[in-house]
Amino acid sequence: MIFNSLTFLLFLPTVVLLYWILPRNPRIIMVFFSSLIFYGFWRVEFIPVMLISVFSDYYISLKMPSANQFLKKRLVVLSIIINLSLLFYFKYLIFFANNAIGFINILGFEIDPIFLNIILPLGISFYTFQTISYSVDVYRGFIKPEKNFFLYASYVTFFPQLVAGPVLRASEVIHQLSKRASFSKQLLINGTKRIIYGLFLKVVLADNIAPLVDTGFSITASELSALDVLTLSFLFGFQIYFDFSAYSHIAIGCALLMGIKFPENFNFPYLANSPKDFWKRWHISLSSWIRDYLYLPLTGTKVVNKSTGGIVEASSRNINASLFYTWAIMGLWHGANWTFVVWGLYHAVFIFLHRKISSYKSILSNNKIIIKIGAFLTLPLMMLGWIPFRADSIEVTFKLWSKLFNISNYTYLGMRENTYLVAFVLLIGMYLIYFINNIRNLKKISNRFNFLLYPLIISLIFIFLRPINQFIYFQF
Amino acid sequence: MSVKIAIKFTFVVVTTFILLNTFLKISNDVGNADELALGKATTSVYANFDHIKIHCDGYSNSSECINSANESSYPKVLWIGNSQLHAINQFQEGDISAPAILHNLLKEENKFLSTFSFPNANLIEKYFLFKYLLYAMDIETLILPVVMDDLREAEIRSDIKNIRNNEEFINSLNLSDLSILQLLSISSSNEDMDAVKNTTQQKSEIFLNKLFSEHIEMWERRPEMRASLFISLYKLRNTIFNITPSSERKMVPAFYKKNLFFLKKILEEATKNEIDVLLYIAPIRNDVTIPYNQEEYQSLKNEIRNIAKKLDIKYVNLENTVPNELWGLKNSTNNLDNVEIDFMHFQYPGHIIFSNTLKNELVYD
Repeated sequence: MIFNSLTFLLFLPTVVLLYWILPRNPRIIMVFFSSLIFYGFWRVEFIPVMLISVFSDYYISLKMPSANQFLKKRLVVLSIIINLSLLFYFKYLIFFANNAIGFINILGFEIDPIFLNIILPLGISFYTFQTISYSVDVYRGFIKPEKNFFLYASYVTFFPQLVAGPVLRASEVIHQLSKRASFSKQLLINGTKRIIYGLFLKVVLADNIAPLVDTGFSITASELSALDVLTLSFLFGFQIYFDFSAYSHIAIGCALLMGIKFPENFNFPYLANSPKDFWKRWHISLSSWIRDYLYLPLTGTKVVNKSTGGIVEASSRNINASLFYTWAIMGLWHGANWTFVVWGLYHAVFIFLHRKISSYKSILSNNKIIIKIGAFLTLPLMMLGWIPFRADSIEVTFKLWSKLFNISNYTYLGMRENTYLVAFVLLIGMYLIYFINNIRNLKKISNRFNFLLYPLIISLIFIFLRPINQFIYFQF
Repeated sequence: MSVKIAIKFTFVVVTTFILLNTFLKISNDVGNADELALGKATTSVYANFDHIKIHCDGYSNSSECINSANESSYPKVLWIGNSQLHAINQFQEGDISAPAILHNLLKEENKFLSTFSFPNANLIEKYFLFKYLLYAMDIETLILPVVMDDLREAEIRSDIKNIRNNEEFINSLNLSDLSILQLLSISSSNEDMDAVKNTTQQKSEIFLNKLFSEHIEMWERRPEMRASLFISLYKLRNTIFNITPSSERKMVPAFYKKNLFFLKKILEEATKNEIDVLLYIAPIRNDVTIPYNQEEYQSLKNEIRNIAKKLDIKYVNLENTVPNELWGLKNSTNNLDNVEIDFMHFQYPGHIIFSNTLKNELVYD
């Protein structure tokens, strides 16, 4: 089920109502089956795929506490293999097979590429990551395995976050699902506000920016100027931010209606003052997941307690190599295409460079001017990082990037005037909102009177609500 | 606390309702987005004579025009253009547009004219419609305008995209045609149900939308409200940047090339199917500064002439065909003025002159 639809807007209040009136066990079972219905509204036939992941990790984790260290290790590996196999089959099989065939062809053997009709199950990248983290956390001893199947299954399949995150840890959610929070009007108000805000970002902003971005990227790279490339990268940057943060707002809002608090997933990412800072603000739940379950193990850091984020025990060589491995995998997680690997490595390069620079500028690190310069440089770098994310191929990506390095490409424009205008207005709007949020008195006033804006926001949602575009992260 | 919340809630509900009604009022007088864009001074007229439909506004109602044409034993003349063909400036009761006038003139020559026109029709859209009409009817002659303004467009509207859903037509195509037709599928998506296509949810969405539309007028009229909102933003932009009908509109190189590519495709298809073509530069008002870059406009005319020459196709420049006094004014596209110059749509007498000129160019022995 897609959030920006009438079906969902009728489904949600029904579930919320049942959630607050049912006693504990029926409530948990209701949440699980509601989530299956939510998922089934997309494709019923893919529910069993999700249940394979749910069942396997449930049983594997239950076996762990009584197993010896050797068996425990085997069990956690088995959990990872099952989940990654699902992910590999549905997401990467065609990609790797065709790359292998391409490689064999280079060696001089003629093999035709394969054409398999494998549909990517919605949310598979998210729920497999969640179940892996669950098994690993049980293995590490951070959490005890959940014996109540429906409670555990509700955590994995919980519909607000099922399709596009936030990627949640069992320790963040299961106890909230198990023990219902006390009902308060404020929960309903805050949850509704988040949903309204998310819908606005999606149906009014992201969906209306999309045609401009689509048109821009449909133009041959040779026809675009350097300013066009910058404009397009900014526009797509805004589109994906509005789109994805909208999903997170709605997910957080839906959970809040049931008294469940999700961690925030975004924090003004485009105001980051370094690439590292950007990833502390963008898709925060995935970044921290990747750090705890991929990056830290790759560096050799022994994770001794709940995620510390410390990398002290690793050698510097490991850290740098792990950084690049992690980002390549992070890229591939987003999509089975080399463009995503390039996107990942692009970020790895800038995080690496930032680390190197940071070691020299420690004295100046708190200097306000340095921070401003950092923010000024980070924004275009992060925006340009979206080019491989959106471009059709690596070739197009490099053609577009290369435009920036030739001064003659700055002398003409190749798109409709409105494209530049919208990008400019959004940029100004972003700084304006940041400005309002950061000046105490203004924030106070805006908080007090922001209800005045709701009629306009709701009217616009009413006018624009229609499922014309899926959320971008659905494809991952 | 509760009283405060209740007051705020009431305020939000009431104000939202008032706002939505205001949006509805803004778009109240007009039927659809295209009419809204044309303004009150210009009226769309799609002709039919004795229930014989001779002028359609795109693919979705094309069957009416196709059936009318196919029922006629006369050789068919096809005219595909933009709003210049269906919009009459300062319309008065009884006025008919150029396609209807030309239809009558050609009837005397034992020809049947069928016209398809839609606002800002670019040549990419015209190609797909032509390709479909080639399949649906026998065409003897094609009349094809080239309008500089339309070459700034490269979007394919939903109506034309729907051609891809016509299975019989698709099955009639060869591989190379099919590969071009893929453009209809991959071009920017903007249809209401695209995100739930082929899912279980599609059924519930269609059902609920129908239910809402039947019972809530505001819901049904959301497309008009969206259009009026965009028009308001467009006017605001024009006001802020002082954009007038005479403001120069630079060509978008990529769109220009794409349009010319599809123009060539239309002409090649026509030649291949032994269809006579009359290619013309559309009339434009020339007593005011036209909104084109003169160099670019001249270069377009040269290029069109060269293409026609190369493919041995009849080409005429009709930019001065309609006298200046037969053009008019239209509703302003900014928030400061009431009216402004309309350089695309002319009055009824202009339509008569225009159709007579075309008739003379279509010399039949």
